[in-house]
Amino acid sequence: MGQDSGWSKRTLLLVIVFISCVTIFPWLGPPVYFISFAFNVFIYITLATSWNIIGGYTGYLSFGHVAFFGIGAYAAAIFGMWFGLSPALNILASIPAGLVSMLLAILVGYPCLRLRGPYFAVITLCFAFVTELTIRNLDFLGGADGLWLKGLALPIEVSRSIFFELMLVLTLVTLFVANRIEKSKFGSGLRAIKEDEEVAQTMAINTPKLKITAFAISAFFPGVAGGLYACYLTYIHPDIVFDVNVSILIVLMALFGGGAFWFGPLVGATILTFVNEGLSTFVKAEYARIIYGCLFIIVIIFMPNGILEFAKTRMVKKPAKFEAAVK
Amino acid sequence: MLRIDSITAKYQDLSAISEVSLDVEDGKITALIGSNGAGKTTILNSVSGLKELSSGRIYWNDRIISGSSPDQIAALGVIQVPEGRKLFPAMTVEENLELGAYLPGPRRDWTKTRKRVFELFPRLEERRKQYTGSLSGGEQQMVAVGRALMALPKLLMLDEPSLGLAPIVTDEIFKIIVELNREGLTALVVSQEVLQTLSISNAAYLLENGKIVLHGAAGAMLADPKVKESYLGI
Repeated sequence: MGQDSGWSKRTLLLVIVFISCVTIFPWLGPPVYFISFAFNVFIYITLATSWNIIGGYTGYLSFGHVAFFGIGAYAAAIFGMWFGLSPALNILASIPAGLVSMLLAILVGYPCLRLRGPYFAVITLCFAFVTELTIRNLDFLGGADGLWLKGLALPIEVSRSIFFELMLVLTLVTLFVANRIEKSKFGSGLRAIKEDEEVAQTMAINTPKLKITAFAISAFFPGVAGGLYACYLTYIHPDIVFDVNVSILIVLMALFGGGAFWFGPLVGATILTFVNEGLSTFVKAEYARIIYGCLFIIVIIFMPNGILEFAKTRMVKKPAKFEAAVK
Repeated sequence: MLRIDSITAKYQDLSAISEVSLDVEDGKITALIGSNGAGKTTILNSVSGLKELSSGRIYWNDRIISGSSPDQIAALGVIQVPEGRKLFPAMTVEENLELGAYLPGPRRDWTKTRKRVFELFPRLEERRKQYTGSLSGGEQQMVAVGRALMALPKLLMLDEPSLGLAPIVTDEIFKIIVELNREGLTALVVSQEVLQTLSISNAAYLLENGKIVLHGAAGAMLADPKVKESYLGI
């Protein structure tokens, strides 16, 4: 807040070089598997970073955030069907699909954001279940069969590379927005809500409005990501796009990295997607889950504020921080 | 001017305050005294919109504010310094102060206001980068008052500003309230420190079991036999 930690020219240059390298990566002819894997990493970064706006900054743990991803996927598929969009236009329909997610977030958030703590977590989880069940039982949305979309009539490497670039753009935009929010007055208002909502109100902060705005923004990007994912997969099914495991994974990723910073979810999502992939490739699936679970327990016990905060306190000496010293 | 007109507020079925009427005149310090559990904080919370009323009305400059949300009331310049400070402990002194100036108006010249706050509380300037959770009780109270001042209050409501503080720190806080009042600030001070509070106030109200039992000029209250006997122990 206040002091905008403007990046030095060197960091900025490094970031630009890094992004450029990532951008040209799929065109260097790597195996398609790597492109798809990177695509997944981008999705998780987008989801975790968006979640963090309401979960990490504001302290409202949404456990149903996958719903916004799923709604976006379905909205894009439906737009494609209804308007007979070409595959390329269908990709563009991901943006209005994000708006559909956003609209639903406002409708759901209005009553739900009055609840705090575990109540909010449970009600958002229920919201995800209800959405999934509704779609599963509505025939015009494909029901239990799912929906097919038209794919790009291009070789798979090219098509995957295009989706890689699109998801990369979305990820960068999401990170940029999360960064701007963190440094803004809006962001400090959200932090105030996280720390003490009642006091925030007495300081003229319109907390209901701030919460709804944060929730809507945090639903928009997953919606767009869902739309892109639907076009990428060309087939969507409630089991795939409303997977409750994803909901939980997003929360863990953000908290693993550290929910107070915009780059926490970036770090958390990247590390965990790699760990997950490594484990499922080299270790038996059953062991992989056990290891994964243990990893979380260790992080939560020893690094409750995320690995970034942990690393930071180890590297620089900072004044002690007492979370609950004030009564 | 703040006018509280016969308000009643309940917790479940129990009335915390019943038919309380109270005026806070512009430019004056008004004291609200009474023992623990008399309902003093409930009155302040009713004014700031945190506590819903069962009946009665609250007016700020002849405009009804009861029923408005806390942020709307705060936006009118009615600012509360809550009991027990209620800072944002994981934020620095500076961040707490900056959040006080959240609205566009106060935010426009918040650096100027902050300079003034640092003049009033030089200790806060030294500790500006420190997390408020790591400050002493007195320093935390200073942040709480400073944060409220950042909102450019027209009425400052202080809830037990001396709670749990060393006498020397209490003196300092009260001295600053007087200084701010001299500059034109209207204040409503809630306190159990009857003697000290009355000695800085213009008018006072005595609350017992949720009802105003006595009110008048602060000097007259100090001389009142009932106040003397029950609260001053003379």
